[in-house]
Amino acid sequence: MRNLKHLNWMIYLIAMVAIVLFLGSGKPIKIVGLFFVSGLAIGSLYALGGIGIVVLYRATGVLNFANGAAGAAGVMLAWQFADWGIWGPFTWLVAIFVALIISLVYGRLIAPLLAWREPVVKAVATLGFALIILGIVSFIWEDDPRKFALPSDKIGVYILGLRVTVTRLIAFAASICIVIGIYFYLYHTKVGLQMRSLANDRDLSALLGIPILKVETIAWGISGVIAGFTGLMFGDLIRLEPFVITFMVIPSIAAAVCGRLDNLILVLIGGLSMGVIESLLTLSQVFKGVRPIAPFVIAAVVLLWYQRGRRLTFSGTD
Amino acid sequence: MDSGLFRTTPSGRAGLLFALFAFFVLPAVVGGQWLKIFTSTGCFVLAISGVAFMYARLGMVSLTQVGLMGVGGWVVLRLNHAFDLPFELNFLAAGVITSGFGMILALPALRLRGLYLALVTLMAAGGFEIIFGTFQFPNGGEGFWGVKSSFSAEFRRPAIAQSDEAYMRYTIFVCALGILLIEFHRRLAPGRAWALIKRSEAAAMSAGVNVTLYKTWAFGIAGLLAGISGALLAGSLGLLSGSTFRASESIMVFALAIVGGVNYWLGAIVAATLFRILPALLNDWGLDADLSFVIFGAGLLHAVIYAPNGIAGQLMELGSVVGNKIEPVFGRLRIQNSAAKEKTELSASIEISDVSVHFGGVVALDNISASFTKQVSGIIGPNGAGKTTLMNVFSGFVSPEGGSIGIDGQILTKLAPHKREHWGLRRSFQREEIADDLTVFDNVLAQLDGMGLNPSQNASDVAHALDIVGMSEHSWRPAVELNNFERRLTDVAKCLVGSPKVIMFDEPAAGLSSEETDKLGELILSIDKHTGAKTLVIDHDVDLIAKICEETLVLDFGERIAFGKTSEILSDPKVRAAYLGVEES
Repeated sequence: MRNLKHLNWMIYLIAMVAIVLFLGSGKPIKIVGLFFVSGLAIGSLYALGGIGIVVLYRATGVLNFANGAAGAAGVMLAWQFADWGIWGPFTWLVAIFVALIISLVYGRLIAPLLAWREPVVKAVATLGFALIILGIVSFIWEDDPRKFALPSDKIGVYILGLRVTVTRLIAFAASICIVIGIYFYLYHTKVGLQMRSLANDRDLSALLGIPILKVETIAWGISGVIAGFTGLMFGDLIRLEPFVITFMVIPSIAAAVCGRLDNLILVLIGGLSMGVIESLLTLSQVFKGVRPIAPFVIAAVVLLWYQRGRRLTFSGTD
Repeated sequence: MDSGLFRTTPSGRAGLLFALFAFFVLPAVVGGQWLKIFTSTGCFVLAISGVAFMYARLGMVSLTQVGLMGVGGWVVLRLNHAFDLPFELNFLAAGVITSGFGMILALPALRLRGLYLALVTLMAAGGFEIIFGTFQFPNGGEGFWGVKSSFSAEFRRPAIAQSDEAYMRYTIFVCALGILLIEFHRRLAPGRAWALIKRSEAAAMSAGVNVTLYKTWAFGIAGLLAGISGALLAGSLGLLSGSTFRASESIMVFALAIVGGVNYWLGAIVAATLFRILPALLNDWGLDADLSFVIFGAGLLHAVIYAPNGIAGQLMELGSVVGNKIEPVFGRLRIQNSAAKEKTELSASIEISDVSVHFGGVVALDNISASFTKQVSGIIGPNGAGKTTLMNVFSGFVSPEGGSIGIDGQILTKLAPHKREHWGLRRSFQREEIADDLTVFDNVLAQLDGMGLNPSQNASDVAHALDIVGMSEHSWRPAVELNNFERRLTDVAKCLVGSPKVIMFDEPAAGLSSEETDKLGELILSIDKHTGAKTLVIDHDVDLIAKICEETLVLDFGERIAFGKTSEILSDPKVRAAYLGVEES
């Protein structure tokens, strides 16, 4: 069984390397490196979004479509404060704090009403919450070209001959650090143990006397903070528009699916490889126009691969 | 039952009235830009009824309906600008091609369900968004993608619907047809099959339902509706833009289908009205259309948490309170019992030879052989003995590594699971598998759907089976109203229809009182008299087995520990040890 798990990893890595080599063949190594690095930056954004989703899904069984909306609300408020001339670091903290509060409000007030419903219903309900936030945020900040910039945008370093802004490096480093941090949290603290137990079997965990409310609240909090940080990165690196940031949750879910909504390291690898392949598709004449499709195709293939040979005969969990 | 196909319900009559109103009155009173807004609302009614139907009938969440609309729109525009065919032909082609795309989406649905299926469809929606965003829609340009930037060629509307007003009527007419298509499906074999699949795929398969076919079919219908709705939208606007078909719109459409209420025609209309007319009204009143998101979201949360039938459900409830006072009593068609069916004589034995099943390192069945010759036989054993696994080998849910099961010259283990039902194998499950959405009668009738027999014969067969189990007077009650014992009896009736040869009951007495268990025991004993089928009863309630089974197989940890006459078996020291433990001396 264990070997089989590694086999999946190996197949995935080999497939990714093969695609990269195929797309990069015949092109100067410098160009390929350039697109590779910029792909890692996009990919780390997908991975960040996916990590926030998976942390929450494992602990609470809720796939949160509202993560993007919470991030959008945070970064819009940060922009507003910056526009009023308030000190930068404070506005960033505000963004993260707003996303945290939004996440906790849902987690404490609304999610308990749906605790016993099937996962897909829980996911659909978060969609409702996402729409409410999106509506309010777009109402307050009407369509207008805006720009949210972090000071790190102006500092660049050269990697493989490509100038990379420090913001991108932060996004990349953060996605790796968050995965490592959460790994240690899950495996070396008591609350982490309780989260793993909840992820494994919620009903049994309840019987064992695990303080579900407390553990879930912590999970909502962690995912809220990650959503706030991700929102800042999206707002800076992609576009400062509530609608766009809210629905960046879709490629984030694609990254989460790569890790089977379970394994953070796979989410990270999935997200990064999606970004890299998306970026390298620019080199292909045929697929240049449709390169943002890469995350969806990869996620769909991974999902189907995981389910191969499975039969749906017996009713059970999803 | 075909006589039920055209029966009208109060909700149906209200729907037809509404359609007439929308057809004759609405286009005449609205004007200007509202004609187009109402027409596009009509298109979305059609698309939304597709997703709503998938969710209501099969519990499947499709988050790509608007993407499929895009496919329909693309096809109709492509054909319009490439050939000189009339609108109707292009329109049908769009429906059929999109239906094909829908069926491709059904492939993952055969292996996935619930959240994961929703996510696959979401990935598809993301893909459609990118493709339409990149390539845009044909507007008369050169080449396959047919896009030119400056100006767009003319779109030919149907000959009978050139003006905006006539086109709105055209759309409403197609909408009504689409909703009727869904309703007819619901009332016929596919509806029964879907209800069983929604309840449990295992139960559906053992009832002879071809799960693959019916799931694919459902996706095909949803795709067809999406395709023609996209084509109608293209006809209304003359050209389409990629931004109409984003993944977020697909998500929104699903959300609104829930808000509207997936079980009613009115739900799709409420949903489409919220989706298209509300933002236009807000704009008209000088309010920000973004506020409609807040209303959608709040409506969705409200519907998911408190109102599972949506706004339409609440309206219909209100309507039926009023309606009950004027509703004449509609006599139900009663079917006369035909003369008791002659029983099929079956004297051959059930031969289980060397059946082995392993799950990883666990031995579930280890070279089990037995030959049941009596009409009612039992299989007993403690928990984990392999009883249910053996039954699953019979049903075809588990393929044995070795050995076979033969009955009456037929090697059962060679047939596909749903074909075994056609051959004459019936089973019940530990949980009774009665679809809540169907009546008692339809639940039993669903068992016969896959067999392609004569409908009137089927109806009398079902009535006869319900008579045997004593459920005739409850035939027309929806299964959701039944108590546990009535559900169990209905489950038994399902096993009796369509010339069964072998019937298996998996712990049929679980959860029944001792009085009910006695009645059930007598019923099982009478099966031979009525149908001639052999019966296998699995239980760990030794009392029931002792009372009704002549022969019994005892399993423990996947091994056969005894087989023979029930009374002798039960006094066998090995059996007593397995059940009661060995006394230390």
